[in-house]
Formats: sequence, structure tokens, C-alpha cells
Amino acid sequence: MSPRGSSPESLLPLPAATFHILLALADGDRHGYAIIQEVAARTSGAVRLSAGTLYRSVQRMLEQGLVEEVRQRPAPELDDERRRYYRLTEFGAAVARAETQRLAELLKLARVSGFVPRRA
Amino acid sequence: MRVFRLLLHLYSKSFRGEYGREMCPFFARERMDARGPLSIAALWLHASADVAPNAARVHADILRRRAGRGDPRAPCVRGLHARAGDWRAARPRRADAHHRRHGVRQGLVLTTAGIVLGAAAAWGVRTVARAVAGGVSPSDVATFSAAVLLALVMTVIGGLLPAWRAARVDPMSALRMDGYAVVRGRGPGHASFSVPAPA
Repeated sequence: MSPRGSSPESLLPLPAATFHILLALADGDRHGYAIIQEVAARTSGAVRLSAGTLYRSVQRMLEQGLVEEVRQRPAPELDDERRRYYRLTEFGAAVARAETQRLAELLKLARVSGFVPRRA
Repeated sequence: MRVFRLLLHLYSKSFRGEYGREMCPFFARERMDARGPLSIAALWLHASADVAPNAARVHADILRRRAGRGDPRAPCVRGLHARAGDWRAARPRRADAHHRRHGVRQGLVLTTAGIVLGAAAAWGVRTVARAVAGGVSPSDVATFSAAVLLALVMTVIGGLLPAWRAARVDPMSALRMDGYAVVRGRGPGHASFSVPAPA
């Protein structure tokens, strides 16, 4: 359950940007620019989040309790004081799992309908 | 960077205060990578195309949050104040006029900017224009006036119609479409108010 008492399923389907941000935060805390780079790297450059989309999504995700801001900062020589670091919450991870489950079921349906190309 | 900071003013003050400082280096980095006038123009187009819709969504989110809290600054909350359910009767006519004026004013600002830029561009390409559009010269007052007048009329109609329609949207339906199936009022004047969930 989220801090507001809503279930992960109540937030589905997730906007694509939100899901990408959750995936980018799955293996550690990141700041805004690192999230954009991680999303671009994971999708081989196919998805490039803009700064506006990123921060609007982050603002919403903070409100929904999907991510939280991290107070711990790296060493000063590695840090930029303008950066803010974000971490996936337990609720955020649960929502990401629920979205993955939803997409998997959708993919199953698409496969049955013959829309998924067979492997050679 | 100064222009980009001005562009960020399209966002709400709270959003700008929260994320504005972090967004500037993004743009600065891209600006450093952009080489040549075409790349810089493309960068500005991209930045404008990013800021404008996202700023609109941020403002929409704020209105939605205010509506959720029963904040009277949210336009649709006026409808919630109509406890009898007749929101049309409760809606102040002055507010409708305000929405219409606001809608048209936004369009007029953009159109005026477009007219100024367009006139300057037309003047700049006058030799090409003379060759392409036979019989029309950049100093053709009638053609220029007609074009400006047409742009203004289209703007007024284009701004007035959506604003007029928006002012007539039933706030309860708008809230339901936004996922507020059940809204329970909080704070003074809202204690006994509740909206039934849609069937």
C-alpha cells in the first residue's frame, strides 16, 4: 500500500515516462540527468526523456509515493549542489511489478492474436 | 541561458522554484553541443516544444490538486459549491467572461508575435516573394492588411470558441473524467458535501 493507502493497481496503466524512470531507478539512486542517460542507454537511444517530461513526471511520482528524494549526497568533489537524487520506494517497486505484469498479459494476448513475430 | 530562464516562467512558480535550477544545466549542456545556426534553431524549437506542453500539464495538475482539496481557486470547485447540484445557476457570469477574455488574450499575444515576426520575415525575403507571388509586393498594403486582419479574426474565433465551451463544461463531469469518482469536501463549508460515484 502507498503512503496514501492506494493499491499499486490503482495507478495502472503507467505513463511510459513514469515506467522508464522506475526502471532506471531499479538498480540505485540517481539524479535527473543520470536518469535521462540511463533511460537512453537501456533503450539504445530510442527513448530520450526531455527535462520537462522528466521533472513533471518526478514531481507526480514524489506525490504518489513512487520515488523519494535522497538526502545523502556523494562526496563534494563528485557532487553538483544543483542535483537532487531520487530513490525507488517499496511502493514504487510494487507499482513497477504490477505494470510489468499488466504488460506481460497484454503481450500474451498479442501473441495469441498473431501480432508478435515468431523467432526464426 | 537568460532566454531559457524566461521560457521557464511558463511553468508555475512552485515548479520553477523546485526544479528550475536543475533544468538549466540540461539546456546549457545541449546548447554547448549545438553547432551552427540550424542546430541552435532546432535546439530552441525543441526546448519550446518541451516547455510549453509540460508547463500546461503542470498547471493542469495544480488545478486538479486544488479541486481535490476543495480549494476555491480551482475553477471547477465553484461547481462543487453548488450543493443543490445546479452548477449552471451557481456559476458566476463574470467568471465566464473572464475565461473568454483569458482564452482570446492568450491567442492574441501569440498572433501579435507571429504578425511582427512574419512581417519582418516577409520584408526580409521580399525579392524571393516578388518572384514567387506574381503581382504581390512586400509594400502591398492591401494584401498585408488582409493577411493581418484574417489572422486576428481567426485568433479571436479560435480563442473564443474553446474558451466559451470550456466555461460550459460541467465541473462534476470534468472531475469524474479525471478520476475523482467520489469527492468528499473538507474544510469550512464543505463538511456535508459529497458527490455520488458514477453508476
